Amino acid sequence: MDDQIILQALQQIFKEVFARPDLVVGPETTAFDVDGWDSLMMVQIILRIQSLYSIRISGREVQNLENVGDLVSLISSRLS
Amino acid sequence: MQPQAGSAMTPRDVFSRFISLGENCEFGLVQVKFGLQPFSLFAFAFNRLKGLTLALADRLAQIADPSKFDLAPIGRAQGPNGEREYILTHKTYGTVVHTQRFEGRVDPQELMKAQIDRLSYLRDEFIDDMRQGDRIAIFKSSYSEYPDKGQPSFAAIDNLQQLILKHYGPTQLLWAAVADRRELVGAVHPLGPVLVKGYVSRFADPEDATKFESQDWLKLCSNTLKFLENGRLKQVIAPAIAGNEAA
Repeated sequence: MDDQIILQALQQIFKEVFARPDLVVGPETTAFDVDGWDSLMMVQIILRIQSLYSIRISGREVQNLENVGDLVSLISSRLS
Repeated sequence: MQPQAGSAMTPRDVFSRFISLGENCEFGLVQVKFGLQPFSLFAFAFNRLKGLTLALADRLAQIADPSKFDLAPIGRAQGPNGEREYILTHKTYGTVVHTQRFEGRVDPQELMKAQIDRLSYLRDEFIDDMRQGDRIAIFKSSYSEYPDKGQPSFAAIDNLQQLILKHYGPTQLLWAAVADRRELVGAVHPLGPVLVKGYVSRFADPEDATKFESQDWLKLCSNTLKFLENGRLKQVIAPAIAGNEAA
């Protein structure tokens, strides 16, 4: 699946999880850039990704992510 | 693949090999300082040794049961307008979780559901981590299981390690303690087949876990990995597990 399509799907997930329709994330976005992005929100994001793509993302994989781009790459690798 | 201990490891690599069992968020914050986002059950929770032992012996069966929790705005008034923080407290294990959510700004029922989702996910991840055994559990404690003692007893820590081996897998345990001599800072020594004890100069103030001695923790964790790489523990871990399974 094209990374841009995955990024668009993540964009929608982020808007819903943070309840912020104006939220914009890109490949370089980190947890420090989004107010309130903590482990509670991260689990909500991961659970939605797992449900959407029928994949499993482990906690240690999440721990090693540095930005949204890494998350896109992780999903892409699972789908390929 | 896990990075191997050695000179090529960055501090981030070093800390990625550890998983916190508490007792509070100090070690989780150390991991954050060195570039990780710890995503584990106890990284940002407070739990006394007694409650942790109970939870692990229970195989965390109640850790994501909403009926076992109290959620109340009993934290310090540190919200943007002086609101108090919602604190999640497990009624059986005693685990306390800061939510960083404040009264009047969140629906408590939605918050509870999100927390249960989080705990359920992290419980499964924790069990998987412990079963794989390629990370080192670390427990630091300022408190004894006895009211009149300053730090936990060896017997209590050893019991914790035995529970991990019996119910989860071959995960080794580092017991972090405060050194009573300067030359001990960063040192690590074995206490049993899969249990080591190591030292930092001090723990962060429980009221402000951000004020930790990061270089002490780096030295301790680096030395622990070097110690383990020498194979001194690996040589005995298999018989120890076999012994438990036979028991």
